[in-house]
Amino acid sequence: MFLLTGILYAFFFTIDIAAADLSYLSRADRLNGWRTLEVLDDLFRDHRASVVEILDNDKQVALGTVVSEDGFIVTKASEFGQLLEIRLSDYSKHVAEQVSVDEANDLALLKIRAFGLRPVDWLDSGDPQMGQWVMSPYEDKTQVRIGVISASTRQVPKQFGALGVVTVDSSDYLTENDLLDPNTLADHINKGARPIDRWLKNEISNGAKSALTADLNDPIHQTHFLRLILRDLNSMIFERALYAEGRFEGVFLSDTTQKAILQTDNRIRRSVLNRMLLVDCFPDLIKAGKSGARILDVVADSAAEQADLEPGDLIMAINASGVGGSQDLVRLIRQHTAGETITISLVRDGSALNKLVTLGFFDATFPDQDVNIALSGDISDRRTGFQKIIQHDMPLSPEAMGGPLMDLEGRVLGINIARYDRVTTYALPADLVQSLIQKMK
Amino acid sequence: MRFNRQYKKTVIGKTTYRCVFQWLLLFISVSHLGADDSLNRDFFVFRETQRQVQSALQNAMASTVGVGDSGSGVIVSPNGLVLTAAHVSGTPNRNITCRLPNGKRVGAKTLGNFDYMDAGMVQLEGEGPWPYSPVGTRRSNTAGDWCFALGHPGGFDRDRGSVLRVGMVIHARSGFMRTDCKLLRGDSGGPLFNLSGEVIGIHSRIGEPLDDNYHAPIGTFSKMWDDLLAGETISGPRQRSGRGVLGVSVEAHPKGVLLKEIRPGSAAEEAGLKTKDVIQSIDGFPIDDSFDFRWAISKNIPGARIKIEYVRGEKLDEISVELGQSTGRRERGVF
Repeated sequence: MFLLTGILYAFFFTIDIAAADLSYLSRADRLNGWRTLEVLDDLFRDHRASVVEILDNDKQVALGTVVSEDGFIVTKASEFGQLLEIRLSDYSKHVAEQVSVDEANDLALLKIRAFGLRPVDWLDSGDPQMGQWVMSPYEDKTQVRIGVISASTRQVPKQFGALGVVTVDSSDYLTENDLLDPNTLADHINKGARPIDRWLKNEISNGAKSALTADLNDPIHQTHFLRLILRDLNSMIFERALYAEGRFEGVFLSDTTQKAILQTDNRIRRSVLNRMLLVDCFPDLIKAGKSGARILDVVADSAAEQADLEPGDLIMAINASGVGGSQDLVRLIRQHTAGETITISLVRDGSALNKLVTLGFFDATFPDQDVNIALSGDISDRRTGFQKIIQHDMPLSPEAMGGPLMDLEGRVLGINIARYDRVTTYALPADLVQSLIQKMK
Repeated sequence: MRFNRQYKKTVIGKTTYRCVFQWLLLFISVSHLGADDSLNRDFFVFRETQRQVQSALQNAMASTVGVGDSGSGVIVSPNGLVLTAAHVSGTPNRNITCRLPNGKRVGAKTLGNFDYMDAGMVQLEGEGPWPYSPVGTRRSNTAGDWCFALGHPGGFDRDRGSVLRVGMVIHARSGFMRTDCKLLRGDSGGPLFNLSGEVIGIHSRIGEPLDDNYHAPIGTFSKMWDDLLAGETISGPRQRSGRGVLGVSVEAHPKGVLLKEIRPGSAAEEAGLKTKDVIQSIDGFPIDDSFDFRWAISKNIPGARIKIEYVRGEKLDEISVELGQSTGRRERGVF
């Protein structure tokens, strides 16, 4: 019997050793595994009452942090709409009133009618040291996550905005729909304008004239004729511009010539035609050599969609500065940050109109543009543009923003304000938040 | 008959005892598992980890550099030798630019490249001595060890500096090391440190889950050090049709790899290798895991002679084997 017991002891002892000699760390034992977090749950439990859930139509959109006994709560502003409810740690729901928003830091101050709430203990000891442990409530306010302060405390400038359109240079995308139809052409001629082909017939040299008397449908003669048009490109454009301003009788390309140019693949010819067509709407821009960018596609849920921009629209100017092409449009948009409202001048169905567009966030508009974002899971829409942030590496979700960033003793270093990417979360430092609250109250 | 009956009784008695003991012992060992001392973390463990990370951090940060357009690296010698990932340094003997923590640009030359394990080296140009981090020993990491990562996720950003991640080794036995120090593009080539501030890995790649972060272990670098320093491009395993085959499958062993199975008629059988032999090195290249083993065999052509150092029982021995042809069939785990 002793022998048997001995064997059994040996058997179980081996199992025990095998389990302790880890070649693989189980999920539970990792930094944010449940067995590690058990320790933190004890540390966090006492501070749970200072964290609330922000509900938008009964769905949790963010966390909030209680900052006074009489119901003041701070959270991330850009995560919710108008109808707001707050669920306290005792699961009671309260209607929240939005007191004020600090746009520069995306911080909102809310107020509920409640007394005896537990405000957080602020820790004011300057910028935190890299490597310091921090903890924060996760999405569900009863859960907690751990991480470290991971980089220097600093300002994060605002990222450029995004319109949400796919464009091409306008002359690369001319269709028959863009051409002047015979009726409009006839109108212009009645007003005293001359079709350019006829004008050329009178003005150009005799040699060329002989070419022009030939049949325009003959491809050889067409080529020759178009070469002549190009020679006088600039003077033609200027004259057309003057016509648009009512100061010149004007010139036009006949129906036949327009179609002939459309069928060639010569970029310069198409560009001439394009500018001739556009000069009525934007004479100054055309004179300055800006021929716009044509919208091919509008991104779903983008700023462009909200402003009713449509495929086929030709963007000619942003805040009155001319758009030279697709690349130029990108350059002009990137001079503005997300949230800024710009005026877009465009041509639709041959007439000019202006649209006001409030730019969106680049990463939210084009989520596939950055490989790092694809590998980051859910991130905050508004994630740049803060006066001062503390950076940490806790894996929080965007719905956990607005919650407190605590040291392991539960003192609050800041308010989580943006999930930036896989390795980064930003928090507004305690001193900044406190001064903003003073201002907003 | 009497003897028999008594015997039976005894057996029954012993079985009962055995059951009781089994359950009792099972209970003891299970409860023991739950209270495993090696991983029991509390407030003080966190505080001690923080102290060690912070005391190692200054030197670690000073030696972490940006490499090329969007990679990272770590200086490991006062004369400016930088360890990085093979996919960051690229082909040997190219001129690239590195970024020091203060933002200064320094010219550098790429050295050797071991694509199979994503190990690369770069030499900084200009006057030393450079701040540097010591390199850890070859096989010192086990799962559960604390570690920290530095690097430039998303590219070099002077205002931000390199970004710290603290975590634990998830897996360190075979091939790439895995940790829960979360990485991102731009971190590639950056250093993974143990709490003493020694480089134990170089960031290589990630998967979509947050815990899928892989690092080339420092062992690869130390084993390949001279070749990498000499600027050699070390080739990986050959295509299946053109590689030499020993005809064995292996499993992990603390001292190398253990021969699990030997194919009949294979080169291994012909040379006299036996199951349970522990292979320690091939052609002088130390074998730590099946990843090493696969490379050391499969980089050769059929018919090549390799020298295998192995332990049978207690005895260390060496044989020379001529590798055979591949059967052409796809056989996982047979080298």
